[in-house]
Amino acid sequence: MSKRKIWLSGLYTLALVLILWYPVGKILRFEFPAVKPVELKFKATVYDPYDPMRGRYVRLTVLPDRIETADKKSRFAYSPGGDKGYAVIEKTPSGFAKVLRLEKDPSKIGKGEIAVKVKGIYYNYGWKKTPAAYRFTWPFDRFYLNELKAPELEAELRNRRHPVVLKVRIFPSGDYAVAGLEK
Amino acid sequence: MADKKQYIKWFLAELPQLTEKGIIQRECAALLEEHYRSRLAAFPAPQKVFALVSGIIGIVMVTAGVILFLNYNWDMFPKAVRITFAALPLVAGAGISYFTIISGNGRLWRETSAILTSAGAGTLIAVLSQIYHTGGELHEFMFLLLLLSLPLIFIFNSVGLASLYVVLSFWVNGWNITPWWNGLTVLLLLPWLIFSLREKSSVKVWCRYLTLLAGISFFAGCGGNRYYFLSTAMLMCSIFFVNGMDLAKEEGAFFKNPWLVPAFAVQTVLLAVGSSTDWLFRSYDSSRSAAEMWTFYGSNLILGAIFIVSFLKRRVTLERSLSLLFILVCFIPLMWREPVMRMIFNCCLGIGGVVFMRKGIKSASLLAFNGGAVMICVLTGCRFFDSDLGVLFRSAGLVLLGIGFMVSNWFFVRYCREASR
Repeated sequence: MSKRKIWLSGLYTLALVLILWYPVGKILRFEFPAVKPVELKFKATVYDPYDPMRGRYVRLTVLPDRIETADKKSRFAYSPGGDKGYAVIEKTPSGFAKVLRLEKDPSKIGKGEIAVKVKGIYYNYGWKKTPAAYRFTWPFDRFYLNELKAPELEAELRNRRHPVVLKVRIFPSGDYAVAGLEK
Repeated sequence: MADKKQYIKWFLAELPQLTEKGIIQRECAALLEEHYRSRLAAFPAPQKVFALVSGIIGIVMVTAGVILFLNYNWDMFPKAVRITFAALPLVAGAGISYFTIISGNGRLWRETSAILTSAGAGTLIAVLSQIYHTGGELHEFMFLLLLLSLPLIFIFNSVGLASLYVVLSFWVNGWNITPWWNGLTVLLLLPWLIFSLREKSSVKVWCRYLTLLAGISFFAGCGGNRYYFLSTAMLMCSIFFVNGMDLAKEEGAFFKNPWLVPAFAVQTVLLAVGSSTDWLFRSYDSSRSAAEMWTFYGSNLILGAIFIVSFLKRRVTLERSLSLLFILVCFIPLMWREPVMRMIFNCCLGIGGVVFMRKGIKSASLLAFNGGAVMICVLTGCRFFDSDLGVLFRSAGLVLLGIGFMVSNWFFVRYCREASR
């Protein structure tokens, strides 16, 4: 084999290692975590399914997506898509997630506290009896389904009044994996 | 340049006549024919190019089909089986790639290897996010995929994957994304583009179009709403314009030079808008984050360096210097935002018009003459519509302007004909 081919093979192997770094790391993080993740439940409502490349899924509005605040002014920047930050949460006795506060700076999250990176943070000014609050969006906003089962479930979920329960595993690193959806 | 296919064909057709008339010896004619036939054979045949293009389209379609098949969401299988399924395109890509490298196969194999490996990586990442329901945004996925695909473009010198890369870079875009992502994806491809634009490259013409598209992607992603629109746009147009002028001298066919006319048109529009209103000179410093400012300075620095290299590559002429003037003028509003700027832009349009018309007359170039005439017309038209004249006056003025443009063209064509006699 010529020197050029050896070089190319080496470079390609390096590129392949780089490519595999992310997916293999993801599988290892989720399947063999150093610290066991906390499984939390979230209430969620369903809307707008389908993705042309990734198949069927249900889009979720995960609750609670609002937290009241005593702040007179937003601690988060205003931008068209909302700011990003961290929701510090705790597990209630029933297993549901309760949002304690929102933090902009991750260094302010205490050791042992559970935090998830959230997006689309907006500040709503208080008005008369309505207190000021932050609105935000959870990152786990979709649940993928097989295309044969998806339409039935979507129709069923859309016509009912009470929300579904989304089970999410939160890792100490802030990573998450949706474990299931309960009707 | 003698490397022109049509010139070589013409010369080969002339050889028998030259021999018959005794202008050149038969032995010399045979040697010339042999030499130029071998040069002609070195050009990529249209059938070869067509086969390559259709091959790349086929690979992309097959790969997209495989991705869709895997995205069916085979939830009847356990997780491990689904992950194995998802990794199959990447494994196939790796197998074909090693085979291509070791056997030293041709371009289609290299294109297949690069596209399949990249698509395999994309499939694995996408299906994993489906399996773990981790969601994520499309621009984040695209950014990661493009970064992972970049080494493959260099390793396989793959024009197909580079084209996909440029097209997909438009998706690393939108509100609320990290401002330098889109710029970075385009800038990282720049070394490959520069390498592929060299004279000997067989894909140089395609890469000229690709560079133009990459420029638009760079600008669409982070130029329009995040940078100072005017200065970055003028800098980019000037790079294309200066290189376009050089290409115009070298290349005969118009379609082989996609840089000159669009860059000139955008430059003229920018100058016209700048000469009429001050909205281009406004900047929103207060709403810009440090990351956005650094993105602006960093990218303009790189673009500035590319411009200087392009500018100094050839002899400095008055026409080439115009681009430098336009860039300098466009950077003034960063420090100084006064109505005087409009006056400066008017002067630039006027100077540009005169310089290009002079160049057109001097070198009997219809393109340069018309470029200058367009600039003068735009300047006159803009000022004419700014003035507080009635509609009838304006309509008459517009008609006169049009007639003047046509008459000057007619005279110039006649002038060129006489000059060539």
